[in-house]
Amino acid sequence: MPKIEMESLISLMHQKERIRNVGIIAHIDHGKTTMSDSLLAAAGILSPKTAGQARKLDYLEVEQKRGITIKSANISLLHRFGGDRYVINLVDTPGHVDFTGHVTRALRVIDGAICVVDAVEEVMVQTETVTRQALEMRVKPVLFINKVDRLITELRLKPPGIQKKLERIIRDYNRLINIYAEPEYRDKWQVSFAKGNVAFGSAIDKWGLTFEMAKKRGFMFSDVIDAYLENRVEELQREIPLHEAILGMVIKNTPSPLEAQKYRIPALWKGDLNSEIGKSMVKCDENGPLVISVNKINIDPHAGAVTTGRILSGTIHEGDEVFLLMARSMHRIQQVSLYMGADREIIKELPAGNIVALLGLPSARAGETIVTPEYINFPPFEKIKYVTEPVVTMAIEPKRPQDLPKLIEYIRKTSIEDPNLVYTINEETGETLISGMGELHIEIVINNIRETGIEIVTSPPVVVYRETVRGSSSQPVLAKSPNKHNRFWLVAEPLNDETMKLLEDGKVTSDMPWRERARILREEARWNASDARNIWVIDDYMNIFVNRTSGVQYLDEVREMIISAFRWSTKEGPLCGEPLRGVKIALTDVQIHEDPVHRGPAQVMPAIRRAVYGSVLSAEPILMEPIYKIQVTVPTDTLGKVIGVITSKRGRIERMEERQHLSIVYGYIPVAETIGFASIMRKASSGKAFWQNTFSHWEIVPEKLSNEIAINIRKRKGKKPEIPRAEEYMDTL
Amino acid sequence: MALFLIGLGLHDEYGLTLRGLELAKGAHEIYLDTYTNKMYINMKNLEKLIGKRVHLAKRHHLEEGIGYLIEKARKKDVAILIPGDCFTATTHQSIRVEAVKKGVEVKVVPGVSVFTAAAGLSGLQSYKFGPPVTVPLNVFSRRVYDVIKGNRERGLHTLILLDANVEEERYMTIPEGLKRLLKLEREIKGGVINERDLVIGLARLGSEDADLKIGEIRELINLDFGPPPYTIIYPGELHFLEKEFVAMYKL
Repeated sequence: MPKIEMESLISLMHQKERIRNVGIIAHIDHGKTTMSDSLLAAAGILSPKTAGQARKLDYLEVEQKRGITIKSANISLLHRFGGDRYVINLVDTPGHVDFTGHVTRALRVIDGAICVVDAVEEVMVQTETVTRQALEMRVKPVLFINKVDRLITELRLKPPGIQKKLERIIRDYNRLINIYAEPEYRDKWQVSFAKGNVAFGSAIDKWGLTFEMAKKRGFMFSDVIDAYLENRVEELQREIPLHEAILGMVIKNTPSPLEAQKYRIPALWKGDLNSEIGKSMVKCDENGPLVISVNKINIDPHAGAVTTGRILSGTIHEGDEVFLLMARSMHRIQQVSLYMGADREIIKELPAGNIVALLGLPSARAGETIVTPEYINFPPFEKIKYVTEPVVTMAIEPKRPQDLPKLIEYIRKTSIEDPNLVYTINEETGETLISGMGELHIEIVINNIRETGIEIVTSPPVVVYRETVRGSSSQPVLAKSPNKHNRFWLVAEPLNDETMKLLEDGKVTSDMPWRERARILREEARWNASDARNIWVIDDYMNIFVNRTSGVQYLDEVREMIISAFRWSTKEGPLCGEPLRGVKIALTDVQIHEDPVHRGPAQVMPAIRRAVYGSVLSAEPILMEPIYKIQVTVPTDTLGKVIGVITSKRGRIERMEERQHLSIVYGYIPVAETIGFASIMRKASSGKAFWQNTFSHWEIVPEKLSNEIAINIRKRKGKKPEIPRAEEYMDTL
Repeated sequence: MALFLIGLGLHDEYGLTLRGLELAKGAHEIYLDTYTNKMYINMKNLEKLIGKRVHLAKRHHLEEGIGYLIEKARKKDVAILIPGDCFTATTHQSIRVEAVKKGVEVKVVPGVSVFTAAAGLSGLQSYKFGPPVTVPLNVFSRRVYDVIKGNRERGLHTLILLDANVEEERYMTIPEGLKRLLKLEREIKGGVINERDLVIGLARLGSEDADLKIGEIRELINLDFGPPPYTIIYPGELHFLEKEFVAMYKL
């Protein structure tokens, strides 16, 4: 980047009303990356010639092969608008649903989103998903209708046809805003061409048009059509360049951090807004205490872990001492830089309102909050909610045992960058299990491993299940400690739908203030006051432990052991070692030995586990399976066959839409039925169906299948095939 | 046929009473509890004295796996040798209860216990002890503080057992135990424990090189007591005879 540009960029970083932090969100293949590249090219980073092809943001070869983007990167762009210079921090967000975790994380650091919609395909299932996510985090959307060239050259539509299509997209998009925006923003954030927050164009041909540009330049849509028909597309690039349309639209229609933090901080942060730090964040005050919200960690081959985040308050300098709230550790900042595509430019300091890249924070993870050391008790940002959960697992093993340390190191690194990848290593066998959002997500990880030269053997992908209960234990289940000096009585009950919804939405968490939690559970999920008050822990799989005893001496000394034992038991349930979900375990009575040496962890933990297992098994246990939301686009003449495939796979059709000769089928299908689904679907549709799966929810497995699946899982895990009876985990007085 | 619970007494195989030895000789199978406390047993000699093979029993054999031994005792005489007294420090009463419930006969031979030996060696009178307590290795418990407090309010002595993890060869030493007491005082601030309080440290009770040191906490906290096991006594009000003895041995 030229020196002069760099300098003006740095000076702009201090003028907060001239900053925009935005991201691009889109359904897969609607042209998000192509658009990013055209914008980059305009900023002089890529040559204008190759911008449509190079796809600079797609670092990984796999992505190029598949034509989708996996990792987010940040770019800072400079743009002149209305005589002033602006800096636009562009957070690239991935488009494939398997990686929506990345999207969610990126949304925390941006105030505006450019939603790209393909003019041919129109608003799709994932457009809905990402728009909903953006609106839930008070990110203001603007709309870019892409691939308008295809309407002209491929569909050969006439102006009235084009206009109808564009109007329908805008109407559909506004419907999403109506459904998902908070009431306050429903009207304010509606998009329209006249308002200037809709642009259309072609990212690949690098042109774009807004109402303002059309008015100012007397440009008509028929001019666009003519340009295509007469092969003068380059003229469009000169007269109505894409970056002018997009960046102009962003500058005019998305908020500066100064404006945005006023209403976004109260939504993103649950601390006291009247505290010094709260006020400073709301004001986006660069002289206030330092707060950075981290959205991404990249492992740079030379620099190590690069931490990227948004500075919400204060100024970060090279050499600053900072505290990480999640890691609970202190670090010194080695380097401060800002993004230029894949590159970083080192600077001395960066003030509030900007996106920053930091070196020197080895223990930082995505979702971390960085603060000045004086604020180690700062209430952290609410945990990032993931709309997706890892539902598919694969076992991998190195072909050469000596590669095991290298493999583990690689997976560890990858999981730092991609928190949606979960792994467990069996220390004894060296077998490593990796779980992700879907088959594709895991396949990509496996390809990456192979490219490092580590040869691996993989198992077929298996679906992750949950164990739950449908009834309540008929009576408290007693378990004694191994030395028989301690007795615990537990019951298992299902958590109701309202509670599950609160947990899924992150409105009720383990570490929130208990009074607040108790109030919400009472008012919104019909909990009785005493249970709501006495929650000891909510685990990662959405099970809750409640203490129903009172006045037991020294119970607080075994409390932590009971909590650990509860977490240990819910991680591997009694049916087949899959995690429990939606179970309330209540301690109804307890007798513990007076002397601490007779009630240590070795006594308490096995007893609690027995009682959890016994109580779950006596409360009508059953498996839950992950369900995908599926959307299939197919030529209408093969619609029947596609529906046949879905219903034969235990799927159900929710609704159907017709667009020209295409039909779009929306429905639900168990993840288990989608393993190897591709070939069946291709065959049935003669390769004409295009489909998308997104994790939707967990559902109870049909009764007649549950046992069979559990037994198969038990066999796979090397357990005895018979499902244990409750009595095996119950003691008698 | 019956289950024999035989107290092994203190320190090594010579802590066994003659009655215990005679009963063990008659058993068909003999197990040695290896986890309750550190013992310095010469297995060859023990087997020679009894005239039979002695099996080593780990914690899980006598806890989760006790049902197996109890079942055996229906058909054979099964003896379990337990450090100290069968029912005192490690309360093996649960084994007896389970056996009786299952209709298996239980014969008991009491053994010499730290509870009497520690009091006697320190010159303190058994009449004046309140409930004992253990300082555990891995867990931070306030029970020891509460027990000392309750005993002192009534002028009673407290026997403090120091946790021993024999399988992992980890023992809480007397200085570590004393440090824990001071730490509890710093946290609870109940005015119970003072580093100038008189305490008694005991090691390897029952052996020829048993160690006994009497002094203030701040003195004992720096001393080495040699190999395990260890015990502390926190005296309450002293009788004049106790006072006389303590004065003779005080550092």
